[in-house]
Amino acid sequence: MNQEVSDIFVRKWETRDGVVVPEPEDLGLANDGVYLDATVLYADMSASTDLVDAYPAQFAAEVYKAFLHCAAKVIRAQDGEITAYDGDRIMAVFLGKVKNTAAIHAALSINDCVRNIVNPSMESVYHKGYTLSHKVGIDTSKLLVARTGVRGANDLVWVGRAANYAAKLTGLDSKASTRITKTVYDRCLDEARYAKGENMWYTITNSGPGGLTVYGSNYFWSV
Amino acid sequence: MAFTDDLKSEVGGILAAAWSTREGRQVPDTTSIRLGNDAVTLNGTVLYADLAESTNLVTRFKPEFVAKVYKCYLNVACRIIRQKNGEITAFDGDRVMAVFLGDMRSTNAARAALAIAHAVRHVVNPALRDNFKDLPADFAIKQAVGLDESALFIARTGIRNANDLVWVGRAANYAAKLCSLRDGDYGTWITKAVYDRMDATVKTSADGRPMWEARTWTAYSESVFRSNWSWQL
Repeated sequence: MNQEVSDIFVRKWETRDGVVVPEPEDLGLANDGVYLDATVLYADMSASTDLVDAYPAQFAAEVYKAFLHCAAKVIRAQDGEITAYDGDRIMAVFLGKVKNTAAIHAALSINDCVRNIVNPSMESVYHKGYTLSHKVGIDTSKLLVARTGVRGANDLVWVGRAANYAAKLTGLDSKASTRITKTVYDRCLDEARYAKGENMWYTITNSGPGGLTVYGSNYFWSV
Repeated sequence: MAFTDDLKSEVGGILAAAWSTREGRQVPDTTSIRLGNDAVTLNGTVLYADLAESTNLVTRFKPEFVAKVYKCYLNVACRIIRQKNGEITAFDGDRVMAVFLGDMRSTNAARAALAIAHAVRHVVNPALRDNFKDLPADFAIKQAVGLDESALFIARTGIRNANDLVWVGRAANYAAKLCSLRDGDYGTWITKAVYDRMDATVKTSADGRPMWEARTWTAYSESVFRSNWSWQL
C-alpha cells in the first residue's frame, strides 16, 4: 500500500485536452488524465431517508427507479453523459458550446417528469399520498478526469469546482427544484433564462459555494 | 410527444409491475438483475468512506494535486475493503460505497473502517508531506467512514447502457449520512445495530480499553458509536 500511494504521488500526470467523456478503459490506472470544459449536473431525490423509513422497500425502490429512469432519459435527450449513479442521485456531464443551456433544459425537464409523470402515475397506482420531490444542481468549470480505484472495481474521478459545487447546490436550503451558479446563468442562452419574456430565475443566495451567487427556479420544461 | 409517452409508459410500468424478488447471498452483478422490476434482498452492512473538505481542496490546490489525493484515498480504501471481504458497489466523486455480507459482516466492516483511518494517518498523509514539500506544515487530509446494517432491497435502475444497481434500505442511507458527523479525530461512526453485531475484537483494544463511545444522533434519534482508533493494516 505504501508503494501504491507513493507511486501515485510521485508519478507525473499525462494529461490531454478532451472533447468527449472518456470511458474508464480509455485512461490508464496510472496518473493519466483528461481536461474538459464541462457542465456538471447532479439530480438528487429529497428526503429519501424518510421514504425508506416510512414505506416498504418495494415501493421505495419503484420511486427510485422511476425518478432515475426519467432523469437518465432526459439527460441523454439533451446530449448529457451519465457519469455516476450513487443511491438516489445521478451525476451527468455536458460538453460543447451549449452545455449550460442543455443542462438547464435537462433540469427543467426532470422537474416536468417529477410533477407531471412520476407523481401522477404513483398516485394513480398506489393512492399513498406520497409526493416525490427532488433537487438539481448545476455548475460549470474546467475538470480533470482521472481513473481511480483498484483493478476490477474502478471508475472515473472528476476533479474541479463544478463536480463539488453541483453536488453542494442540491443540499442548499431552498424550495427551488433547480439551482445554478451565476457562472452557468451568465453562460447560457436566453432560452434557458426567460420563458415568455419572464425571467425564470431568482436569487437564492449571494454567498453560495465559493461565495458565488446561486439562482433557483421552479419552472419546468415539457418533455 | 413520443418522448413524453415513452417516459409515461416506462414510469407506469415500473410502478404497476409486480416485483420478482429473491434472497441473495452475494452482491449481485448489474447484469444478474433484469431492468424490469427484478430485485434481490440481502442483509448487509453498508460502508461509505468519504474524503472530507474536498471542496476546500479543489478550490485551494491544483487539479493535478487534488486528483492524486482522490486517487490515493480511494485506492487505499478500496484495497482495505477488498482485504476485509467487502464488495465495492459504487464510486461517486470522492467517496466509495461497499457492502459486507455474512455473519462477520459488521466485524469485517468495522475493521475496514478503522484500517482506513490507520492508512490515512500513517500512509497517505506522510506520503503527501514527503512528496509535496511546499504544503503547509499542518496539511493533512481528513476522512470519515459510516457503517450501518439492515435488510437491503437491490434493484437495477437507469436506462440501457447507463445503468447500475440501486440499494434501497436504511443502511444505504444512514451509512452515507453518518460520514457528515465526523468531528476532529472521530472519523468512524457506526449505528448501534453494527455495534451489537460486531465481535469483541473490534470493540475493545488488546489492553482492554473500549474503542467506541456511545452518542445520540439527534437528527434521526438513533444510538450511534464513534471511534478515533485505528486498526493496524
